[in-house]
Formats: sequence, C-alpha cells, structure tokens
Amino acid sequence: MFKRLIFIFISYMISIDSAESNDFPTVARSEFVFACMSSNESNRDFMAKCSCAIDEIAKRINYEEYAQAEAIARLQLGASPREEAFKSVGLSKERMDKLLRAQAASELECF
Amino acid sequence: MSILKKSIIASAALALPLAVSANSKLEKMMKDPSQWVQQSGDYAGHRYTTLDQINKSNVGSLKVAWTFSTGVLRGHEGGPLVIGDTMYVHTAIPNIVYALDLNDDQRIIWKYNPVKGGKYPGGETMDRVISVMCCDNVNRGVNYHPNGTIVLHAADTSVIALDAKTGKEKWITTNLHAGTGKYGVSASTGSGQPFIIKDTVGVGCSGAEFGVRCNWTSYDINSGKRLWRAYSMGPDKDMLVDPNKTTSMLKPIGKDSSLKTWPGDAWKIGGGSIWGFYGYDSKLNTLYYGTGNPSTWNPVVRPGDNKWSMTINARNPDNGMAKWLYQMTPYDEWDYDGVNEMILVDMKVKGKNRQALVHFDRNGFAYTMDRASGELLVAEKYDPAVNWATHVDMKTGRPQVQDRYSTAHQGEDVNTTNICPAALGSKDQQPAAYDRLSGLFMVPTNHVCMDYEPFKVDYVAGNAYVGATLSMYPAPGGTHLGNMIAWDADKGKIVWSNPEPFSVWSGAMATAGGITFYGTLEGYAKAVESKTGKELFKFKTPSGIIGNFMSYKHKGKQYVGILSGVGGWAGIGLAAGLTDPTAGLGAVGAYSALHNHTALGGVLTVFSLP
Repeated sequence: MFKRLIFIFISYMISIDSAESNDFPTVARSEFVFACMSSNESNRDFMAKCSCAIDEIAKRINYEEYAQAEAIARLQLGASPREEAFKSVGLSKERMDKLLRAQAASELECF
Repeated sequence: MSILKKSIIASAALALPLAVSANSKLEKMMKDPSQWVQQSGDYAGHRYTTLDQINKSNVGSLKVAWTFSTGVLRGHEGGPLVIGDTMYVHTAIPNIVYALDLNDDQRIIWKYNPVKGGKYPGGETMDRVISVMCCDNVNRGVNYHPNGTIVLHAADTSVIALDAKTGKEKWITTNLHAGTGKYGVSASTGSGQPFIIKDTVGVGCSGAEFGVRCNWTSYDINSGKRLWRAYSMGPDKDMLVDPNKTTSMLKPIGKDSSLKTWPGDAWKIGGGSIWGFYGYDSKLNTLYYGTGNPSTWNPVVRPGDNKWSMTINARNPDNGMAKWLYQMTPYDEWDYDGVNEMILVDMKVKGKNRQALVHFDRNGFAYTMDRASGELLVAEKYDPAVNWATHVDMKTGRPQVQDRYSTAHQGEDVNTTNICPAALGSKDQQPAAYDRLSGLFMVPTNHVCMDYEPFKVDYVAGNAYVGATLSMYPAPGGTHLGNMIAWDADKGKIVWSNPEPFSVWSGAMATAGGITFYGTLEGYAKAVESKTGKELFKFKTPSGIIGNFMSYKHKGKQYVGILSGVGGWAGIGLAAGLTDPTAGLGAVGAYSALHNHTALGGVLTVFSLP
C-alpha cells in the first residue's frame, strides 16, 4: 500500500516536471554512469540501467540546474560557514527537490 | 607592450651572476610573466599577467591542455606556483606539496607529505587538527624564496622549508601548537600562505573561533629562527607598536591602545586571526595585512572597540614595528573578519596621485587608503545590499552602525534578522585582481544576508568559542548568492556586475589580453571581458572552484591554471541517492565502495589555446 502511494506521488511529480532541453554534455552523463556503476555493480546490466537513469534525469532537468544541484549537494557534505550559507537557502531546496524528483522518476523507469 | 619588454629584460638579467639581494631577485622574477612565483603573482597583489597570447578575441577557443588530480578531497584554495620549468601544487589537509616537471608531461619530480604516521610535525594528530579547523581543510598555497626554498604553512601551524629541487626538509618550526594551552594559545591552526620578504618568511594564524590570540610571526628563511612576533591585541610591547609613532587615522595611537578596549583580560583570548592574502611595498619597506574577528562571536561579553581586531596593519618587516593601523569594524558584532587581501596600486584618487592600498572588506565596504600615511581616502559599499552601517564617517573612520542590525544592541538570545552582508562577508578571502589596462578591480563577491543570534558561552581552552547561531540566505530582491563585479576604487563605484547563482569564491586574475578569469562553486571556469564583464568563455571543471587563477608561459605558449575541489565528489552523492545512500538505486554499501573514485576531489585544470 505504502509503495503504491509513493508510486502515485512520484507519477504525479513526473507529470508536473515539464520536458527540459536535454542538454547534458556527454562527460556529465559518463560521470554519472561511472559513479552509478561504482555504487551498484560494475557490469553490463548496470551500465544499461545507469545510462537509462541519467537519460531520464536529463529529460526532466536542464544541465544548468543539474550543475547547481550538484554544487549544493557537494556543499552539503561540508560544515564550514561557506557551506552553511547554502544549506538553508530557498534556491538550494528548489534545485534539490527538482533533482530528487527527476532521480525518483529515473528509478521508476530504469530499475 | 612596454611592460612586456621590460620583463623580458628582467628575466634575461636573472641569468647574470649578479649579487642581488633576495628581495630584488624575487621582485625581478615577479616581473617575468612566464613564471608565477608568489601566490598573488606579485607583492602588490595585482593578480595580473602581462601575457596576452590568450586574449578577448581567442579565449573562446581555450582548451584543456592537461589536468592533475591532487588525490585529496575537500576545499582547494590558493593556487600553484611556476618557478622556471617546475610547477608546485599544494593540497588541502594533509597539505601535500607536489613538484611537477613541465618539460616532461608534468611528471612528479617529488611529493612531500608533512603528515607522517598520522601526525603533523608539531606532534598533533591530523584528526585533532581537522577538528579545530573552523572552515574546511583549506590551505592557501606555498611560496618561493630565491635561495631555492619552497615554504609550506601546514594546518598544525608548522612552517616547513623544503628544498625546491628535491623536496627535502631544510627546517621545520611549529609556529603555535594546535594543542591546548601551550604558548598561551589554545587551538590555532594554519591556513594562510607563508609570506616571503627579503630573507624572512612570515605567517599569521587561524582560529579566532577557538579563543586564540593571533599574531604575525617572522622567521629567518635560512635557519627557521624566530625573528619577531606581533600580536593582534594586548600590551603595546606584545603588539610591537610605538604609542607615539604608530598612527591610526593620522594620529598617534597612544599608550595601551588595545588594553583599554577590552573588558578585563578578555584580550588574552581575543582572536584577531590573520590568514588572507598580504601585500608588501619594497620601496616603503612596509608589509600590509589584516586581522580578523575578535572572539567570541557574542559581542555582549566583550564591550569596547576590541582593538586591534578587524584592522589593516602596516608594519616594518625588519622588526615588526607598526607604522599605522586602521580598524574597519570596531566592536565586531557580525564576524566580519578584516583578513582580506591588500592590493597596492599607484593611482589617482580624487585628482591626486597616491600610493594607494585597496581592500575589499568582509564588512561590505571597499577601502582606498594612502598606504604610506594610513590616510583613509575612500570607503564605499561594494554591494548595494550592505545595511549594517549606513556609511563610514570619513573624519573618524568609524562605520555608522544601524541599531536594528546591531546584534549587541538587540542583545543575547535575540535573533537579529536581515543583516547584510552575512558573516561570510560581501567577500571572503577569495582575492580580487587589479586590471592594469582599465584601472578597474575585478572582485568576486558574496550577495548573502543573515539572521544572527548571539548566546552566552564559557571559554574552554581548545574548544570552539563561537557563541552565535546563524542562518543565511540571498540578499533581498533576488535569488542569486553572488556577483562578479568591476570596481572603481577612486570613485568608490561598481562599474559592472554579473550575477552568479552562488557566491563567487575563487580568486580572480586579470590579463593583458583584456580578460579576467574567475571560477564558480558549480565548477565553471569563466573568462569575461575586463572592461564590460561580457562572458567570453565557460568550462565546467570536475568540482566547485574556490582556488585562485594563475598564468605562466612554457615553450612559447601561455597557460592558465586553476585548482577545483570542494568537499567530495558530488557525482557520487547524486548517483548513489542523496536522501538515503543505502536506498538510492538499490546501492549496497555505496560509499565505502567508492573510495577509489573519490580521489577525484582536487583537480588542477590547465588551459591553453589549441
């Protein structure tokens, strides 16, 4: 039941994210696939799944937003005042939410 | 062009066996644009290269010439040096130094790691040092002395002289122990560059969050012997000031100028750290640096001006005596450290030729001073959002603080809101550049405001002594957190301003090609036209950029280098699922399995024309 609710929620999220310009450079896709395979399994099957995942993400968020979300994620790993400044801001939440929605969608499509 | 010619002559002169002093030898090397011999490029802190092979008409076709992975995670500030055919690259903690052979595909000639068996030379463990670094594991780079020495100021405050050819230790001295109590300090650390003047090397210290009393200490470059030490606060003899000769706002500072401005002996843990980028004028024989915030961050417990925290210092580097002092933020209530870079420019100010010092302070004001006399010439806001003070009174030099943004006026346990700038300052340590072509200053800035709530803390040696809760957000009326600006230091006005989604935390570099380089936290290396700010080039490096740009020439080709790296490799976090690393993409033990790949943290990217 819970899973089903999540599915409905995510489907709803997918539907409100409009298609973006699909403008990821190959190197950014490769980096994602590389990291994704490293965090899962380094085999042919996961190369396909991870490639599918980044393609799905790239359909839902443009590269500029992705790069910003990536920067926020990176900063969130640290704890200095520089990093603190970027944790509470509205932009951070907005970008991260959009990325997480795209990521959730990619999980449904590819895994 | 004439500058270029001069520098060619200068570099040719280097080859002659002249008995020149270390000072003039180093200054000659600074004029040779094929090398980058000090962190700021030169003593004046211009961060300007006379090379113009890469210029505004061709920078768009800039390509990556080579990259070098430092193998170290976390923030990479500062930048590499180039001496002859060798490049020196430093890293965040553990503060590794690499020497790379530019003649042989950047082969590593030597690698030096000051941490041996988990411990720094001063005896502290690396983990303990990391625990008392307030603001990430950064180091702002090594410097070079012409007797063939590379000096490293390691995080445990050790000053380490290395043979530039072999990487062997010549001498090591630990400036201030990061441990508890020793030398009367508690938990100071080293992050600022070691600064070479004549046959000395000077270092500041970090750790105002830990109740230290910071100082500048000068060492003999040949022996490592301590020459003098000037504290930021305390009795006159500790600060190396002469009550009758040292001036502030052109008047003698008088006896006990610091002691009078602290309650009791609060000055003993008064902070005033020094870790930014410094300046030196060899004609005036004067060293310039800024001191940081008084501790604690809670102002209620330290009524008074807290001198000489938040102060521009002009000192004789031979004996440390202060010539003049100027306190920018008396009685700091916001953590507006005064440590930012000192840029020395001979320029017209209000129609008069001046030997000027230009300083973009954390407090949001840009100061233009006469660096010979210490006279205050211009003090204007370089971000219109700045609101904690209405203006600086030019007679007294004091900022006119607005009560509603005064965290002391509002009191302990009261949340003072919408203060601009945030504690990060309108600019932090990220150094600005001076464009000699346009006469403009290229300034990377923050555009962040904050709520600040001071609370009472008791000092325990070696523990954080912050005493304030902060939350930060973009300045009103926008969503962007940074601007790259061009500043007119005579008129005190912004000439152009490019909004950036995040704080611009990299050091800028201006070039004779009419362009300025800077980097962003998303990792973009950018080149803009210096005169207009028009973006001409953009390249995504592997991580966020908080390092400083530099340039050199090798075998007839101009190169531009920049370190990137802030806290880990985000690609990992994203791909493994940020919300729950064990759930994302069905990952099992994701992070531990990624150890090998996270070495991609710090990367030096070097560009050239194809």
